[in-house]
Amino acid sequence: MTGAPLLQVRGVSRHFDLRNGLERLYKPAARSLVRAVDNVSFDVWRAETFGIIGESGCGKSTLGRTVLRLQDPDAGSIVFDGTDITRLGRRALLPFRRRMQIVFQDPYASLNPRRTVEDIVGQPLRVHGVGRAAGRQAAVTAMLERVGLPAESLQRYPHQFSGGQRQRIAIARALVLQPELVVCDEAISALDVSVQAQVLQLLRQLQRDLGLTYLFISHNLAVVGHFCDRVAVMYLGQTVEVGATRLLLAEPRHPYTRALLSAVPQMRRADRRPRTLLTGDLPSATRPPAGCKFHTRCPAAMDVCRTTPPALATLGDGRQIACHLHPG
Amino acid sequence: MTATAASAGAVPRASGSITRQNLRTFLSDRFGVLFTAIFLGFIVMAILAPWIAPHDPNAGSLLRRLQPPAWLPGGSWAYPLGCDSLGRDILSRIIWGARVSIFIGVVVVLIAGAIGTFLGLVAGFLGGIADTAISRMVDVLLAYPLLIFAIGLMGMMGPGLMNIIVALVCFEWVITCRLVRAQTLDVRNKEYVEAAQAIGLSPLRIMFSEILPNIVSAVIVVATLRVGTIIIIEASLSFLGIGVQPPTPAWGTMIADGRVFMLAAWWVSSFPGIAIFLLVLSANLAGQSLRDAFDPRLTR
Repeated sequence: MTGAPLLQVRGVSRHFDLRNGLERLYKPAARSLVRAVDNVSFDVWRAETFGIIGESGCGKSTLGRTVLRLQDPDAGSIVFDGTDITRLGRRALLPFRRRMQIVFQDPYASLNPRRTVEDIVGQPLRVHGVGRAAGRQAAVTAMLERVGLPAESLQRYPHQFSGGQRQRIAIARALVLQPELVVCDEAISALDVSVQAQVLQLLRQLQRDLGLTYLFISHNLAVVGHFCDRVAVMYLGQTVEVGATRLLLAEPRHPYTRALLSAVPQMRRADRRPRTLLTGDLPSATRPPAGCKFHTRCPAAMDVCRTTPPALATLGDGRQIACHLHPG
Repeated sequence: MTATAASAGAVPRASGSITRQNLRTFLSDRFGVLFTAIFLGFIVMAILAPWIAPHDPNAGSLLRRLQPPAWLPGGSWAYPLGCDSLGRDILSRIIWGARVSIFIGVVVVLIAGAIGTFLGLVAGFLGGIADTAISRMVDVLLAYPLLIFAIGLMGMMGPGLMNIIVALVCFEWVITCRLVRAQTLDVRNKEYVEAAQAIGLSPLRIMFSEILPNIVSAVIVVATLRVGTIIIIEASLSFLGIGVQPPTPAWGTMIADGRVFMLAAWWVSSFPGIAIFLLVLSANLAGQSLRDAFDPRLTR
């Protein structure tokens, strides 16, 4: 953790307006805005793996896409390696697109069924005008070999591969431009458990060889605990606790993190934590509760939680937490 | 039953790819192959019209006025389907008329398909104001009965081959546009489109190199089915006298000419009518079997 962070996310928000064109004329905006990502800040350092966990619908994937400018943030700034990329246009963004890539969840949807593997993996090189045709083919073959696919895959189509192999193709496409930051958006969730382990192994190997930085989005606590250096826990579009994975898993402080961790089944009796059962459902993202967004389900909610949103405070052990129980 | 079994398969079928499997499905549909052959036969006939037509379609002789078909008393095998009120050979006029019908059907569908595909891609992919503008235009045009819309346009522009094509294209693009927009909406949320954005592809290149190849087979299938409709509308316009102008042989005009003699000489109107019937039927059935073979998703 030396120098400046590779990625600085500052107060980023991403809202979705659910109204259609006509409704925009008479419906108030406030009730129809989904605050998918709401004022999120964190840093990702070079060569680390930064995890983002949370329930489905908490805004993890939107956050990942916003960081890559696949969606435009409504507020806040994204600074990549010292450059603010929040407002860059498509052309100005191109050099940064080379340096940050994404691996998607569903390897059946993320590969164009009409293109060959060579075409898919070579496309980033063509778009960015890297090398000549022969050199590009060599780079594609080398990258396929690196992700563990035979060279004869080149002329095949995605539907001729298994899920795990398809994800390897997607990884090859993401890495062929030699990016620095790779967003893994639930990159292994859609795979069989045995294949998950192989792909995780591959991701770790590639990180070691190429010095990659991962933004690893997942809902799988076991995988995040195993794979990430630091982790951010998200709830309803906000980060509630950010810190070293080991610290957060051993000593969760935020009531939501505790509840999340207690929900993981443990084989050994000694490892089991007292189960914190959350009551109620996840509140609607169009009408988040006032004050702390978690207070409706929090076992430790106090009066102040219902009125005042807690600020993100830094504790002595370096973790950041947004909770009135831990005012820093 | 079979549908659920197929969708449960591990590898989803590449929806748009034209493969050997598609071809096999197509060829196994004997009915479809037969009508495709008839349709292709019409096209060959139209192309070869100057060489295969036994007579000049416009050479008339009052001596042969309303001469009946060969198998009726008074007919001759020199004029197998008989002659019209000006003594012109009906078979030759049908052969030449196929040119007009097929030319208009194919050209209109091609031009309208290209325009509709482009606008549909723009509306579906860009969304927002572009989508609202294009979609409302489509809705407005769909609210008009097609034939009346075409009659109105022809009334303003005057008759003529070029004007028919323009009038029909003005409406026909809507059909393709609506289809392409819907398909684009489906495809643009696929992650491979986002992956293309992450690479830095321009919106235009995403539309044409990522989305279009995945929807083109549906467009081709629907376009084939529309050829028949366009041919009928052209015939209707010609029948009403605001389409192709005499002396150019067109099936619609031929039916209109024979209308007066329907009781005395039924063959003048009937044979062009049968030709329209056969051509449109074969075009539609060929399109349908194409659809079954290449795009099972569209099957009802």
